[in-house]
Amino acid sequence: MKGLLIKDFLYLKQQGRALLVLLIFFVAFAVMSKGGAMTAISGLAVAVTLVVVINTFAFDEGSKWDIYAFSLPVRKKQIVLEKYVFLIFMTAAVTLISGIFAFAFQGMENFSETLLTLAACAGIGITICSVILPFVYRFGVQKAWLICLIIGIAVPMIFTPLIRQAHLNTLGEEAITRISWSLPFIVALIFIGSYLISCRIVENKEL
Amino acid sequence: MKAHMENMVEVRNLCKNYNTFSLKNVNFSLPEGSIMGFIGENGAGKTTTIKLLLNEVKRDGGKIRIFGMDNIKDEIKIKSQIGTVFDESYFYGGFTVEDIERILKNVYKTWDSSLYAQYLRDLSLPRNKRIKEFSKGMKMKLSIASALSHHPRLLILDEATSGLDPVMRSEILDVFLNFIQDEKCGVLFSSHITSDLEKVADYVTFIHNGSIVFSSSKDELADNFGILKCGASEFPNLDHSDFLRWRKGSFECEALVKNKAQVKRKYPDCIVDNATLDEIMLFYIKGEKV
Repeated sequence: MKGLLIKDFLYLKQQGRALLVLLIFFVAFAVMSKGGAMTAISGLAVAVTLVVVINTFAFDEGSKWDIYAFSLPVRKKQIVLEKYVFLIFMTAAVTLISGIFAFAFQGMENFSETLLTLAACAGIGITICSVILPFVYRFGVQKAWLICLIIGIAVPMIFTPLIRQAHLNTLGEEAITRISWSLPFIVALIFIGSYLISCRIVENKEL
Repeated sequence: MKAHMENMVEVRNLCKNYNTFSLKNVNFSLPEGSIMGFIGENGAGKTTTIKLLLNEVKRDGGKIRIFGMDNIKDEIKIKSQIGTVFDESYFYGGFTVEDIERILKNVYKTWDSSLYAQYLRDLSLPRNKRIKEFSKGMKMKLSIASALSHHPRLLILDEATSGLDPVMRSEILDVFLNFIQDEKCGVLFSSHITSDLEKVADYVTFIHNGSIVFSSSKDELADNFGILKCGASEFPNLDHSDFLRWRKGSFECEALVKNKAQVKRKYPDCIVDNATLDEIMLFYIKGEKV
């Protein structure tokens, strides 16, 4: 699996210039938005994780890497696991960089709030990628993007009215704390579930 | 012909069904220390068979044993001793040959960096150039260097020399011949360029429409297969049970025979020529059944 991880990090190296441009955007956003730097950085962090991870699939598809990878002494499950490990690495790296920027531009005031925002962003990044990855394995990168765009539009359209009706703003502080603490477990469950679905798809895949 | 001890690959009654194509009861064996040419027209089932050997697709029936082990149960053990080269390079174009080494030395425990360096030198592959700048031949050479640098015992090639010029093909065939000097090694070489196989193969397996037509030593084929030629008017009077396939030209008829010497004796007035692999393939694919 280490070799496959190295391949994806080498892809990352190939995207060096594009990532540098993004980093400059990070700085520009943070400088321009001053007080709201955290929101800008958080949004970008999720987008970068998503793009970098999905791009590794696009590079694989472009070179038909899967056909070769399936001939290597690596189990199909490990080939899938590598992408999920890469997602964790990317999330950790992007969260770390975001944290450095956030603290550099906002100082240490609101420390716990900043940490919470960073954790929330990491969770959102992992959740979105976890939803997309099985679609990528099943339909390929291009179709997966389209499907996820449809989901991205449909889910808020369906759930926003439901959430409004549920009067979540009337929830007590204790309930909100309980929900907040359960969120990491929900993200972990989505992540593991996504991995298992992807494994099943790849096991049954015939190239 | 070398003295062979064991079979490296044993395929028994292998079946795979797709909607429009089926692989039907495929049987063949590849002995140690030999090169087997796997021939057949495009779509005959060569690549499907290779994918089944590598467990890239699921079989619907039959057994595959490689190095005496089951190809599914002992998949990782087997694959760590196999080198594969496909008809095109599956490495990302932005990588260099050094990037490929960084990846593969962390995939194969037996990766030999000095052997890889030697192949790169011998095959004149530049270290710092990106793969997308390579010619098709250079990409193929890189695939071969990558496939051989972990000391595999079995090399599986799927149309590896297709689309290459004769000089490049000859250079690549020399690498295979060198590899086979170790009698514990073997090569399964799928190709429709039969002239390459005539140069290097010890055995030939011919697949047509998903079924094996024959699998035997190249010498046996050369000794036994022949093409009988006679006038079109004379042909109906011959015993057609002696023929495998036949075809009619404007003035003469030709028939593929499996027992050349016997047919020569039986029909002294007819010409019986040696049959090349290309001709045998053509007769089976285009010729009339008897």
